[in-house]
Amino acid sequence: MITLFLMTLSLQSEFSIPKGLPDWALRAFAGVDLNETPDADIWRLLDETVITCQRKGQWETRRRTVQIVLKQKGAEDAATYTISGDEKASKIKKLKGWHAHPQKGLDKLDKDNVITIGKSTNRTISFDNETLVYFEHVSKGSVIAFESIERITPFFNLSMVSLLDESPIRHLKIQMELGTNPGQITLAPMGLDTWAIKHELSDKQFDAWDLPGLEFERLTPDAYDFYPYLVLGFLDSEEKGDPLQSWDSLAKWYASVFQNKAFEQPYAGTPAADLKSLFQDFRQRIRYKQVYLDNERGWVPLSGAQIEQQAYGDCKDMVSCFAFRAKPLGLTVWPALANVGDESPHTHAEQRASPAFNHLIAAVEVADDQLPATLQIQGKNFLLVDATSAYTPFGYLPVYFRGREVMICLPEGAAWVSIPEKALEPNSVHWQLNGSLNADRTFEGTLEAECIGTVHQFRYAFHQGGQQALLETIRAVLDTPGYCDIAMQEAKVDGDGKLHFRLTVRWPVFLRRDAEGFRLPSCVVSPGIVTMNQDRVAPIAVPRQEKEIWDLQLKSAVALRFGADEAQYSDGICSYHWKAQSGTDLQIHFESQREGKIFEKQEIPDGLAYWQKYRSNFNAFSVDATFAMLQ
Amino acid sequence: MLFLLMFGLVLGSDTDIPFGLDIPQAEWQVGPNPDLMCYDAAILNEQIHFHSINIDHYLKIRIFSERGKSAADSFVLSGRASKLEGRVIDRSGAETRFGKEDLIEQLAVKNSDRKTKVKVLVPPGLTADCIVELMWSEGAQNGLPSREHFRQYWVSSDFYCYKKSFFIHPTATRSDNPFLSPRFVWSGAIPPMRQVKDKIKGVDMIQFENILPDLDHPFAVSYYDSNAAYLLAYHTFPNYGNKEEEFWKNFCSSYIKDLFGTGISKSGEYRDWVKSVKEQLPAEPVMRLVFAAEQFRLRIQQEDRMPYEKKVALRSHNDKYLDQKEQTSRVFERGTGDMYEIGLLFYQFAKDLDLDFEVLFTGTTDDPFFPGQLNPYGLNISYPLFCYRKDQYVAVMPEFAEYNVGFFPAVFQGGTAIAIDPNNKFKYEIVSIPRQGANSHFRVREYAFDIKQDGQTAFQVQEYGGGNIEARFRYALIGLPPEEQREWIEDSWEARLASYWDILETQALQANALNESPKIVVKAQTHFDIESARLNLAPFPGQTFPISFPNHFPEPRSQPILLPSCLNQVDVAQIRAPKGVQLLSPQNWSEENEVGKVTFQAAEQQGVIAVRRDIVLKRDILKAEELPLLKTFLAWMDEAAQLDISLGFPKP
Repeated sequence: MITLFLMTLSLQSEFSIPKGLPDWALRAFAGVDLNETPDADIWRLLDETVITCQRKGQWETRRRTVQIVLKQKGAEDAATYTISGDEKASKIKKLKGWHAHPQKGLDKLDKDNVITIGKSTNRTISFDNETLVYFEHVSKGSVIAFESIERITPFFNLSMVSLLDESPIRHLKIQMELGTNPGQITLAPMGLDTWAIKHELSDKQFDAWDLPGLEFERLTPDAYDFYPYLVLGFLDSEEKGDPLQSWDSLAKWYASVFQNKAFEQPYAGTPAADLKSLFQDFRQRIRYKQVYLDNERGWVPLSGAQIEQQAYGDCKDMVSCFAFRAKPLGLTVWPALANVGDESPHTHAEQRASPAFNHLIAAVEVADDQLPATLQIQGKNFLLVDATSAYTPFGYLPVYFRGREVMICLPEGAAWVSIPEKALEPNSVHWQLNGSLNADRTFEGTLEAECIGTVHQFRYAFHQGGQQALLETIRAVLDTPGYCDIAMQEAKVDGDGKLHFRLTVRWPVFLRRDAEGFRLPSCVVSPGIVTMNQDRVAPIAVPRQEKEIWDLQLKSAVALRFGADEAQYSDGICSYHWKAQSGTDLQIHFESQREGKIFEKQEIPDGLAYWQKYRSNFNAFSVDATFAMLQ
Repeated sequence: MLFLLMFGLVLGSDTDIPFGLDIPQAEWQVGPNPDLMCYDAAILNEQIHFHSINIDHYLKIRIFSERGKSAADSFVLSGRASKLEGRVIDRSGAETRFGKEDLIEQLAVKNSDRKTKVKVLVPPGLTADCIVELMWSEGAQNGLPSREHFRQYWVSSDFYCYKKSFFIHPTATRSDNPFLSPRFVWSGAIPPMRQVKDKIKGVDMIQFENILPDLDHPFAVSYYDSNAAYLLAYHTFPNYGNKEEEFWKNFCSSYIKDLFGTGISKSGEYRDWVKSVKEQLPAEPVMRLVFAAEQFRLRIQQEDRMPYEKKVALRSHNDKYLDQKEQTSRVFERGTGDMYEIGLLFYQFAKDLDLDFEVLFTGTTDDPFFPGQLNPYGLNISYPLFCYRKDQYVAVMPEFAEYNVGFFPAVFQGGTAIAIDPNNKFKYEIVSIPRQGANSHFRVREYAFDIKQDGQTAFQVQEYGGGNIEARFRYALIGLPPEEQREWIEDSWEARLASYWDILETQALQANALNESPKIVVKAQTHFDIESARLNLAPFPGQTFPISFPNHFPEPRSQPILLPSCLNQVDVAQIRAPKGVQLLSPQNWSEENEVGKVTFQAAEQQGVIAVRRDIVLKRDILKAEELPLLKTFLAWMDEAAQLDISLGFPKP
């Protein structure tokens, strides 16, 4: 009866409900009007996850999806499914698929189209793998139903699910079952109201309808906490001292893990003279490398002595070794957890993201607050030291701590601190280009730069591989074309930690013809700023740009006139300043800078208005002021 | 001075692997040397020992910078690696040992057929000033890694190397297989690289010294790089001799003769066909070969180059299980064959027509044929060329039916070939195959734009070509039904167009027969923001170029520059815009040198804005010294590629 009803509805639409799919997939079409499909490449009618916690720590996860391909360009994406796994900690128990092609009929998933690939790289040795599943001949009108059952042993019984995806989702369901294990279910959605998501929540099940698709939009924040998400998991209330019950319990547990592991064997080397020289020697000796062979290694470090011997480790190993070396100096080191990097969610005292942390640094108890990265908690001074950031000057934290909070794990509990701007090392670069421009607009001369901080990763490249590595990085950053000749003459780091280098350059067609005259290379002035869709769904992330100054002095064979002698702009987020001298002795000064800023979901209209204003100003400036014409 | 000291210490070598010896002071003194392009790390000594059932490896690396650690950061060994032993010695004297228990077995790939693993080693204790030494063994079969019949060992790598030696132990060259025996050949060494050969206790040693690191040159083939020394191990015919002339003579008169000379069972129908074609053959010998190829194409179709309807009507057959004579006869009966069968049948046809012709085999541009290697894997036996080259020249490859007769893929042009005369006891000659120039290959795209006052814009483009281009389109489209032809075009253009274009429609015209020249049609639309009454339009959406734009040309370069193929490329756009819209940026310029020419014109004529861009790649092989000319040509092409048209809209 239901089938008849559904089939009648489909008669007028270009899409139809296929025959032969399993019942659960057919039920996904109930109430769906195939005449009213969203404007998207693929529509996911059903996205269902059922998680059963079986024995201690084992989750059986069943996923079922039903997708219909609305546009031909969605066919490629709809044909492939990916399951991330781990050789040791996960296993795919079942994989089934049905593909109903609009003309060719029903096809079941072919076992030959399932392949598992190990995902180790040179940087990270692990047992991670990826299983790829492929359906053939997918095209517009195809319906694909896919079911998988996995058994996973996560280290912590907590996970997060991002609710939005590229495709719009008609019905999303997440259901949790306790199975044989008594305990407590966590099901906590975030951001639903801001995003006006239609939903229903009970203690074991979450349903959401008509979730919008996040199709490609420019300048979106990467961290998932700007989008609606769900934290889910199992808390075993019987287990005493479950570290996840609160920040305090986590901090206490982790502080003791470190105390035990770091000093498992006694220190046998010569102690450093002071903290600064310990820091410098440590970083020359121990290199950063991740080798995760089991889940536990995601959290528990190796002993300080072990790291000394193997001379490599990941962030927690390095803190363990750092603490190990600091003890003979009478210094106490505590682990400090953080979530860092633009793509990571924000974890702070009131917000638990999952994974909660992706980085570990050292909090050293010090006597005074001289150094910029020293923070005070309850009258004590803690110097925060990131052992993994190879060349950050002593006393500063690397830039990826901007806007972040750090949880210091002390025996008495968690101590949360906000990282102030002053703790981060300053960053800027000043370029100077001097030489001649011949009648063919070929430039020949020198390019010098003074770099402060980590800008463009120049400092890192130079320390890693000297001039050769630095030159490769400069080419990539300036995006110099292959026909441009660049040779390194000199590079050095001065006593203040600033990097200076000088290059000789021969650049054919340095000034190239474009619509309005001759244009400078895009590394000097950007050719224009992209537009933003007024129907935008995702929040807006205005990217940060460190201060960059270009000074050009060109002796030109031909007299040229720039559009403007001077132009300025500043709106509190972005700023630039342009000055130019025309003629045959050309001089250009251009500096620009941008604070990073995120306009969250509810601020999108303000963000769009801001961007429009900034963009029209900059694009007009780029064309009117920075183009050169024959005088 | 340093070198003499270094090599003095390692002379008087024997054939044992030198693991675990004391480290001489000279090795600790190894450091950066820009003249030798020695940065970050250097390989002090590498050895490969070939035995019959195992291959032993030895490696000793000096690391002297942070980045140099990457030279020994991790090693991926075959799943069959065993007997690993190694150590890391820091400058301070601290030593860390490691062994096979440090190997981590990893999944590489798993599918329904099999599971492949690799073994990864992360040496513990690496510092920025250390020496790493290790040795391991892998399983082999008749001197080559298991299940391989051919393996190339390049001498140079990413790092400067003092010494790399190959040891061929006597058991490696003895084979238990009567048909394929292992053979080892090696290149010489061009200064500044040195080569030392010796025989020690019955073991052949080939040693290379002072090996500069590999540079990744664009438009290059390692084989033509004088720095690129190698050792080649392969299985070959045991009884053809080991002198060049003798080997190829036997190869042609035995292997090739057996392959082609078997003949076919000639049916009455076949004889009639040969007779009728023979009667129509023109007088000129070169034209006789051309005529024969054209007639052959009309009668026999290559299975992968058949129009869709005919292809789906093909019935499967078991003829591949017949002997070759019968199998080839059946090709004529069916009128269809795979590429290999087509080659065999055409050979027979040409013989039966009493044509004056030769059969040629060659390598490819990336894998050229070097007769001195005595390596049969260097020739593409499945892709014969048929050639007449006495007073005039023509070469045909009937198996590549998508090419007009007289044209064939550029990868077979420009290299060394073996030319065999089937009318003279299969005598052979080593020859060179010429390359076809720019007037042979062209590509045209004709765009028509329609822009509305509010910025709504649509375009239609027609793309077609000649020579290589025409053949490529034919091959891609001919076997597909119309809706799949449209999909192929859509996929290809979707990848090339900027994301703001929406493809509305695609179509293939004249793409269902080999004697037609395909035309590709694409329609797309978008909506532009007319900002400040000005629109900057990229006039040739989805553009492509005769050659790619490399992002770096490392120096020094001594090897020739090999570009894919000459080409004459024309893009034209007609832009219809509302009344009052003006072209703000007329263009009319032209740049030319020996490598190529770029011309760009944009003008307004009676309400229609016309843009035309011509790019001609005149030469496809350049000497290394001509690199500056290529760079200049690339700069002009890049400028033309990024040049937008600026249109001024009247203010409302």
